[in-house]
Amino acid sequence: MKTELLMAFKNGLHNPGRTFLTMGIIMVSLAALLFVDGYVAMVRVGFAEQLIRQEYGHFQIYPKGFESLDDPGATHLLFSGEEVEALSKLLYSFDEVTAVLPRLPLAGMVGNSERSLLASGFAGNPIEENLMARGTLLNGSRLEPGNPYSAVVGVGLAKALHAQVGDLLTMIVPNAGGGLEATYLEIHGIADYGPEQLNRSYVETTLENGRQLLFSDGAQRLVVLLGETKDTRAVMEKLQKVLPSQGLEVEMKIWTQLAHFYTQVIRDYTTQIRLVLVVVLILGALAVSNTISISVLQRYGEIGTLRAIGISSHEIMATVLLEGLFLGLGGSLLGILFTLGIQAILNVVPIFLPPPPGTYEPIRLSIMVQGNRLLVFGLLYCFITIFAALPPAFRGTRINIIKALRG
Amino acid sequence: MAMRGLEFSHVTKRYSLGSSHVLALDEVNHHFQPGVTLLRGPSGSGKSTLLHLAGALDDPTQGQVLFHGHSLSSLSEKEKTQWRRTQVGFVFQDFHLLGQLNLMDNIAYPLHQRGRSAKDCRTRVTELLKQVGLMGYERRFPRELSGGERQRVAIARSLVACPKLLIADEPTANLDSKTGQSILDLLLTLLEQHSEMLLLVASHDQLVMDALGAQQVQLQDGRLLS
Repeated sequence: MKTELLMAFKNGLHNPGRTFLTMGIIMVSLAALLFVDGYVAMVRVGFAEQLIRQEYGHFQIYPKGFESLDDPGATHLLFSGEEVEALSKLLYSFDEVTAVLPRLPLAGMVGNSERSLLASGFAGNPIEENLMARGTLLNGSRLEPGNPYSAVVGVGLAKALHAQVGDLLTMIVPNAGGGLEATYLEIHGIADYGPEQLNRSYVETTLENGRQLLFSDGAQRLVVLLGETKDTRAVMEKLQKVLPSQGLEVEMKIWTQLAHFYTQVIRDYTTQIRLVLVVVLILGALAVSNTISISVLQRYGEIGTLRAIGISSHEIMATVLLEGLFLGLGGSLLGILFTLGIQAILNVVPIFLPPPPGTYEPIRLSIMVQGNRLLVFGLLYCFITIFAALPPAFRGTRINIIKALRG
Repeated sequence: MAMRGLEFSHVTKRYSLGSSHVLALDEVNHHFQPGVTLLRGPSGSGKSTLLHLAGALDDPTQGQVLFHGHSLSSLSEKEKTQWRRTQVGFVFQDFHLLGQLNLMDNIAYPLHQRGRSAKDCRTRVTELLKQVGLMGYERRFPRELSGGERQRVAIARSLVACPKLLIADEPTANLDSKTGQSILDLLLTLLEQHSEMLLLVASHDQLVMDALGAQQVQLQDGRLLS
C-alpha cells in the first residue's frame, strides 16, 4: 500500500496545475455547501429563538379538551383563577422556568367615534408580557402595569382608526350567551407586528381588562418561557409527571407545534440545501472524475509498464482511487479552511438581511459552522471523490498491456 | 521431470486489425534453453509478438507456451501477473521508467509489491545499481539521466526480483552504438552472474547480433526460419 500511496501522491504532483484546479473546484463547492448549511443552521436557531422569545414561548398549557375545540380563540374553555395560580406556582418551582404568562384571547370589534373594525389579540399580565416584547414598538410604550385599560395596537389598526397614543378606543366582544360585552382600550403603544394583516387587527391589553370583558378570573392558556431552549422537553416531561398529584388536567403544546411557519421555512431550507448538496456533489464528482480520467489517459503507457512488470489490476485500481482520495482530502481541507475564513470575516463585518416573512427583525448574516458538519461533509466529499475515481480506475485496470506499451 | 527453458509448441498468433486479420506468428515450434537467445528479423516479423507471449502479456491463438514445463496459457490473469512479478524481467526499447519516481522507487517497485521490507529493498537496489554502474544514483529521477543510463536502470529493475526469464525488446534501438555496446556488455556480464536465467533479446541491430553471437533464431513473416 505504501507504494500505491507514494504513486498516487506523486501522480497528483505530476501535473500540479490540474491537481490544484480540481482541488479548487472541490474547495469552492464544499465551502458553498458548508456555507448554506451553516446559514440554515443559523436561521434555524436564530429564527427559533426569535419566535420563542417574541411569540410562542417554549411551550403553552391549555385546559384539558382544548385541542378538540380546534379553535385557538375559544373562550368558553378556560382555566379557573385557582388553576392559573396553582399552575404558575408549580411552574415557577422549576429552576428552568423564567416566566409564566397567563393569556386570554380577544376577538371582536375595536372602534372609536369614527368607525369600528374587526380586531383580535390577547390579554396578558403587563410585566410578564413586556418580557416577550412582541412586535416593534413604533410609538408610546408597552402595556402599563397598574392600568387595566392599557393597550398596544397594531400600526395598521391605529392608522385606520386615526388613533394615536393616549386615545381611548372601545372593544366589543361576544360573550358565551351570544350577547356583547364592551371595555375601554387606552392606547399606550403602537407596534409593528410584521404582516400587514396582523398590523390591521392586532390588539393587546391587560389580563385584568380581558378578565372583566370575559367575566372570568382565569386564563385560556399559560405561555411558559425558559432560560434555555434545550430544556423544553425535559421541563414538559417533568411537569407532566407532577400534574396528576396536583389534580390538574392540562394539554401542552411545544413551540414547534404552534409555529407552523417555522416548520415550513425550515423544511423549505432543508429541501434547498439538499438540492444544493446534490448539485455541488455532482459538480465535484465530475471534476474529480475528469481529472483522473485525463491522468489515467496520460499514464496509459505507464500503467502498461506496471502491468508488464507484475503489478496487479487491483494495485493499479488502488493507486488511482488513492489519487482520488488525495484530491478529495486536499480539496476538503481547503474547503473547510475557506469556510472558516468566511465565518471569521462575517463575525467581524456585520451584514444584515431583510426580516423573513412573519417576523419583524432583520437577520444578521452569519453562518453557524458546526464541527461535526465539517467532518461529515469533508468525509462525504472524500467518499464522493473516491466514487468519482472508480470509472477511470476501472478503465485503468482494463487496458491492453501490449497496446499501452506501444504507446 | 519438467523440461527446463521456454517452449513454444505449435504457437500461432493472429490479430484483428479492423476487418482484416494479421498472422503475427505461424505455427512456431521452438525450445529456448537457459542462456541467451537472439531473435532476429525485420520489423513486423513477429519478434515482439513472440516476446509478449513468452512474458505472458498475451495468449497464443493456437498452441502452447510452456516455461519449465508449465503452460502459461492455463494461468489465470492473477497468476500471470504473479508470474510476471516473480519470474520475468522486461527491458523495453523505450525504457518505460516511471518519471515521477526516483531510481530507488523505480527499481524497488516490484519488490515493494511483494511485501519486502524497506531495508531489504534498499539493499537490493543499491546492489543492482552497483552492478549496472550507477552507484549513488538512488535519489535521481529518470529525467536527469542519459538514454544509456536509463536503460541501465531498466535492466536493474528487470533483475530486481531475480527472474528466470529476462526479455529484452530492442534494448539498444534508442541508443548510440557506443552506449548500445555498453548495454550489451552489461547484459552479458549479468547473464554470467545468473547462469540459470534465460535471456531473450529481440533485435535487428547488427551490433547486437555481433555482440551476442550466441544462439540465434530468425523470424520471417511470423515463421521461424532457423
